[in-house]
Amino acid sequence: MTKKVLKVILLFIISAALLAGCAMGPRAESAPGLSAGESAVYVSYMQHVYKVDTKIGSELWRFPVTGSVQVVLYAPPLLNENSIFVGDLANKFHQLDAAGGSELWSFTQAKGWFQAKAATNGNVIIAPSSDRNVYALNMDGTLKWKFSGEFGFVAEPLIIGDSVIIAGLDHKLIALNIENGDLLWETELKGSLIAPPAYDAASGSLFVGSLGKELLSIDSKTGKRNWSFGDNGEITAVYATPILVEDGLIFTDESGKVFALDQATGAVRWTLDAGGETMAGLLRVDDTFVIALEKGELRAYKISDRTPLWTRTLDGKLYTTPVLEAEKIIVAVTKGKVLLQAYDLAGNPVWSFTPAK
Amino acid sequence: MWDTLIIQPFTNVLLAITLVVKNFGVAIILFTLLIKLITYPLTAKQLKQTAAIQELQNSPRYKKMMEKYRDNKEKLAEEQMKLYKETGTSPFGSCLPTLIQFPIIIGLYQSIMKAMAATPIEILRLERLVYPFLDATKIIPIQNRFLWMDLGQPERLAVFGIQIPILAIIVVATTWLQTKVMEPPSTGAGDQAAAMSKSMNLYMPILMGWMAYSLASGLALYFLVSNLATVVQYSVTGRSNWSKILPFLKTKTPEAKPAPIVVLPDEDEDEDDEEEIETPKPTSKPSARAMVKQQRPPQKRKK
Repeated sequence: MTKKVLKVILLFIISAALLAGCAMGPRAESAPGLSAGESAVYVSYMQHVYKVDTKIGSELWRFPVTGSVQVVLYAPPLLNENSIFVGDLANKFHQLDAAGGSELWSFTQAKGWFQAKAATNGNVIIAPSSDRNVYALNMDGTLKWKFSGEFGFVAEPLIIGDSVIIAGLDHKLIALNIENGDLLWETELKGSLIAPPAYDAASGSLFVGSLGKELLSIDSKTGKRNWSFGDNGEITAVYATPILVEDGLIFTDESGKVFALDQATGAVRWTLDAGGETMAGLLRVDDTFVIALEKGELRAYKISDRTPLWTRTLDGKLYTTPVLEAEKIIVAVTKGKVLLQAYDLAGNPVWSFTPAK
Repeated sequence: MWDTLIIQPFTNVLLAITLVVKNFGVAIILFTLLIKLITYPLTAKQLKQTAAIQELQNSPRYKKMMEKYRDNKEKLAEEQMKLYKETGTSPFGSCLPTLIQFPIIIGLYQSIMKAMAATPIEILRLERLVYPFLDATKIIPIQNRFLWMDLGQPERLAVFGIQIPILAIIVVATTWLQTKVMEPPSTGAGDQAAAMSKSMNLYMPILMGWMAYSLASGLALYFLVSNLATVVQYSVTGRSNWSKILPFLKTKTPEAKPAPIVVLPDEDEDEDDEEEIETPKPTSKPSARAMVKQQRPPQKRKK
């Protein structure tokens, strides 16, 4: 074989590798999936799920121990008693031992990615997939039922008593019977739903935003609209779940504008421009809310009078809603120098976590 | 810059087609064909230039020159450039259309990838790419079911419980067909172009098949349509070599010999070059330029 032939072959291989992103694993870009509980933080990113100690930010375990480009994880892990439930982009859903990170079982019947955080009531695990199915699994990993929709699901399910509320990319918010998957009601919104609704148990209302530049209050029993906000072009797309504050709610739109509405009527109480685009949700810490801006800024404001408290800048992008655990605000960074950064409630850096290679 | 000039317009055209035909699979097919149609003049120019170079390289003068300056690469290069200038060809002539097409092909690939947004971040980016008049809320999510495929996932068709990658197999077949049709006729032993084509026939189908097997089927569909469109383009321009695939198409007449090019001695030619180069009688249709040269009366060198 001549040198010229080899050169041509090499050129084609390089071109193909560039096109294929050098790897034949799932071709998807997403943000770290973050959750916390029992003095630990769990983060799914790229080839692993990491359990990190919240005191000093050290790695306690990782799953799988040896990563593979074929297996990518972005779904926020669900902590339930001594188990972690998490799905991957290799179409598998796993139960892990929370203490050691070993796999207890995996569900392999899905044909699409698991990107959303799962939900459980202790008897059933609800795991939405991008294969257009919502899977309900028994606690031993066997299939209990599945519900098929028109499009994939990326939002975490919300369990309210005997029903499970699912926000879909197909613009629909649906309620299913958690025992058998029967459709209880459905409500169509203007745009796709990326995040689950917030639920106020006192009023029985759900508050959900969509890419259709709207935020709705919906009755959780019937699916009927109580009110809608954004019909006059007040907001842009909503990618995150609102936070509930007494009789009000606070949410942010993609442009970084923060709105406080009255839960009962949807009337605007105040607005605030956070100064940058965002798709992450807000974190409430007592009378403070924290907003993560896409450009890498973390900002804290006092809820009562919207006074800016502090701003921290990170190297990388912020797409993940920060979590609060053991008096620390923990934020996951996309394409940054660190994967996790922890702050105390005054915004002082405490530790950072970068996975060892 | 790249996103604004290439990715954004491409993605919006793809999405606009999707809105009209209400099917992302059909939109990928139409969009690929549209791009192929737009870049057709470049492809045709490239094919023409490639053919001209091949014709030139098969000419007795070129072969003789190669033989003569085998051990003097500098002189050989000089003579080659002279010949290219005389015949109005350029070895880089076929590169320019390819270079222009390359970003378009990459842009086409990337716009299909962007449109198949499946994660929240990808959806966010797609939403920002969509021009306001197209209304992203109506477009997202994209219905990516096409025939038996989910265009966002690698394709498999269950046949008696066995998951068969039909599309990847078809991509392998059409890539082979494409490389075979594009294969230049061999000019004999030691023909590097033919050797390269033979290697391509082997490696390209495997490579493309592996990509079609592993990546989202929307991209595999693009590979398939692109392959078929290239085969059709080659056939339309008369450059296809179907006899390689269908041997019965071969004519029984003796193999056509390349068109000769009569040497027109230059004023400053060396003494060695004075000897007349024998040109065999043409058995196939010579190129237009060669014909013009053949019709000219032989020139006498001034002494």
